[in-house]
Amino acid sequence: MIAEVFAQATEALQFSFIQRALLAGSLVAVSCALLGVFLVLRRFSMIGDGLGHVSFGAIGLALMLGLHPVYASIPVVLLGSLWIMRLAGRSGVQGDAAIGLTSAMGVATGMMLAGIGGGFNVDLFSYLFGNILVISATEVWLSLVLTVVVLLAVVLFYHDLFVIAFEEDSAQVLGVAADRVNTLLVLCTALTVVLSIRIVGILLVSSLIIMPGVAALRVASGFRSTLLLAVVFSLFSVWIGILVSYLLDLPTGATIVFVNFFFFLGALLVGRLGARG
Amino acid sequence: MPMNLIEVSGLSVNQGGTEILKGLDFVVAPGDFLALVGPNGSGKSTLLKCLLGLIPFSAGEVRLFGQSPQDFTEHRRLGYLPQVAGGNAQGFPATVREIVASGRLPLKRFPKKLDAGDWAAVENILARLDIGHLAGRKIDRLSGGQRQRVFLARAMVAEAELLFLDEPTSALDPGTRRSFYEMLRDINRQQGRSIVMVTHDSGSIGEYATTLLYIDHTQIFFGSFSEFCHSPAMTAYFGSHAQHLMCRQHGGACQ
Repeated sequence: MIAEVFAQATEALQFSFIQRALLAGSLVAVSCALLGVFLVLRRFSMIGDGLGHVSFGAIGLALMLGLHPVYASIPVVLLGSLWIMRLAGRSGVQGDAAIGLTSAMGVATGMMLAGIGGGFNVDLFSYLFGNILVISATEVWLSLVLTVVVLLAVVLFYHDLFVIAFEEDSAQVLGVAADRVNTLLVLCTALTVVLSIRIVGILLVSSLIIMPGVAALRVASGFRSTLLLAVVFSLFSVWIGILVSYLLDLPTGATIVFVNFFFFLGALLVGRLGARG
Repeated sequence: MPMNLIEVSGLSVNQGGTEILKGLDFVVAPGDFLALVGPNGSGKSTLLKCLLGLIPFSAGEVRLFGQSPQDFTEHRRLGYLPQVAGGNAQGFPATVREIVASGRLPLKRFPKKLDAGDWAAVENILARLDIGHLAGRKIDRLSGGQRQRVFLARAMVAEAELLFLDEPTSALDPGTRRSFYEMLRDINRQQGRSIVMVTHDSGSIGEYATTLLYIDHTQIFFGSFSEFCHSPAMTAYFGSHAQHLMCRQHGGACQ
């Protein structure tokens, strides 16, 4: 039985679409996990969900105008992320409310455009639920560029991100330009969300951002180990999710989310045992 | 004559149409230990944040080391312990060592990187504040009193000249509070660091601080503790009996 599964998995790895899926999935998994830890600690993790919904509107517009949905989404979601930040900052709207408001407008725009364009079509649904197995070589390259940008941002601004995640007032007194670092964080998040949509879909995109970080926070003993562990959880979730979904003919995005959730449950258990011991 | 660290004249702060502070005038000179006292909601923390440039003011002038707080660049000269220090501490995955080390960031340029000297400074300040044994513990596993010391360590680790402490003893029992004050007095008198501290402990702070600023949206009193005990403004504000009781608690400060 095990040998048979192993043989099927090995066979799956020969297919170029599986290779592309694993590569793009791994790259996006790293970005999501790193950004997710900071967003979860800032109580801003639902921004992934909100920006996913903004991209729904953008994809609706792109499909109606005959543009490439991913490329058309990038500027719209970048603007959406800055809009959320501005609402939650200077305009004084609570962070979760700013995300909810923007999210609703994104979905409403998508529905409106789909209605004008003659109803929902298959393409729009494929973005709602994701389809990592049809990812293109260009999207793999985009994911690589994104991951390099996110890794550089985290390495170069590690200490700034750390103190801002802990407490923004103190960060400013420590000479950290909190506004600029926050802008960098949400712009990286916006790009990550757009590229994650192909993997798990708009409806589940926030799970890639939230779950690895939350799981790592249960068991890690320091800040660097939290980031590292989140990346490990995220990578294994994507790898296992893609292979299991292929072998059992399940929806890939949902399978990845389930694996992520099992990691979270395991971390919860280990964390509780650790607290007792 | 050395330059004042803080100069405030005619300071008013207005938030959402409400005047939180009005017409404050005071200075903090090198070596001062200023106790900032007043009832709940009187604007003490607002004043501290305003001095640090975290919130804008609506009128008057503030100079911090001769600079405007909004354009302040010499963060290495400041240490800050906020009122709810580490408001995000619950569930935060950092160790005490990591938190304290972040106090060295004002000494760094982009890309900020901590070196062996920084980590040695962290161990040194932890030992001085008698919390070296907590270095590897996660911040959310500490008691309130231990956390206060950790955040004081972060405020002090860059050897800042001026410390802003917002109710640093709120989580301490009376015995620990006394030893905490004694530690602050050493920092002030032996190491020559200046301190601005928000406190509700107007009774015993007179033994440790050098000057007092009493505010209740407006400035009620600014001066030394001996002046405070004979201040007509304070008598008018408190009544003579309450003022007498407070001055007795100050011990030698009012003699």
